Amino acid sequence: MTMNNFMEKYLGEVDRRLRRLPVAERVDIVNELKSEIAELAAEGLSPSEIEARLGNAKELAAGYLGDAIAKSPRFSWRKLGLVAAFYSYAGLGGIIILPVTSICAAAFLLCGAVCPIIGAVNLVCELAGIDLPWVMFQIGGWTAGPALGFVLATVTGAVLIALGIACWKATVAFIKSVSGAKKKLEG
Amino acid sequence: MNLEEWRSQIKRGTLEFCVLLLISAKPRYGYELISRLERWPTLATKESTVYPLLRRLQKDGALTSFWQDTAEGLPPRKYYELTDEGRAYLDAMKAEWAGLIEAISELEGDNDDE
Repeated sequence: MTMNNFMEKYLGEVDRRLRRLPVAERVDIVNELKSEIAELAAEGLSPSEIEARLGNAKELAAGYLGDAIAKSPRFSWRKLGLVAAFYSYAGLGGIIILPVTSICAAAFLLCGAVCPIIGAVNLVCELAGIDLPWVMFQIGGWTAGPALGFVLATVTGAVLIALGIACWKATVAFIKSVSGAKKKLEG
Repeated sequence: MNLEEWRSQIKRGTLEFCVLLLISAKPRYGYELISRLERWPTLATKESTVYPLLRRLQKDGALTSFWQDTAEGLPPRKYYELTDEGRAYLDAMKAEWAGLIEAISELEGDNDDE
């Protein structure tokens, strides 16, 4: 590709991606980039080296638009859409996702911690000869003996704690993704 | 612990200061600014960051720009220069920067004493 072809194609693409901006601003941006490309070409860089340096047209245009979304006080449908999408996501998350994941996290962790303790209490009472009729490990109609019950209770506890940690991580990940999206929106 | 991330935060936080410092000496064009900053790995910044920053500084009133033909037969260059407002902004930044340097060296001094 010759330098002129490259310049035309590259700047044409930048220009197209900047179509939301006023024409005068767009022309100014493209002329400034043209000046730099000519500068780089004069230093002996090939079209592909220049493209590698500037980044592809999409990336370069995004630099200008990122600034425009955050700074431009003018109304745009794209901006409205971004804001609406963000608040729907964050709002839905606040109503449904966050309460579910955080309550589940707390409940799983608590049950996970209590389960093996009760198993241990049952086992100790059995060994000490104390009768605890209302403590047992039961699955459906089947009841495990105190020793096996203790092992099963410990395993169940570990599984519950793992679930609790997973829910907690999901809560944190959701909060992070929301605040990340907010930052992006603000530029 | 991520040196790369820390470095890019420093770069982000100081780019505006570096660009204004360079322009305060004399009017400069975008490519000139970028190649100057490239001399230091900590400051090297891409076109997709520098050009939008220049536009923003101009919109905020810190910079003005003018086009000038080149002697080398290249297309005209867009030069940026500081406005009075920009110069006042830069002076305020310089004071902040001096304060930061002093604070850090005091922190280092504290550690030596202990």
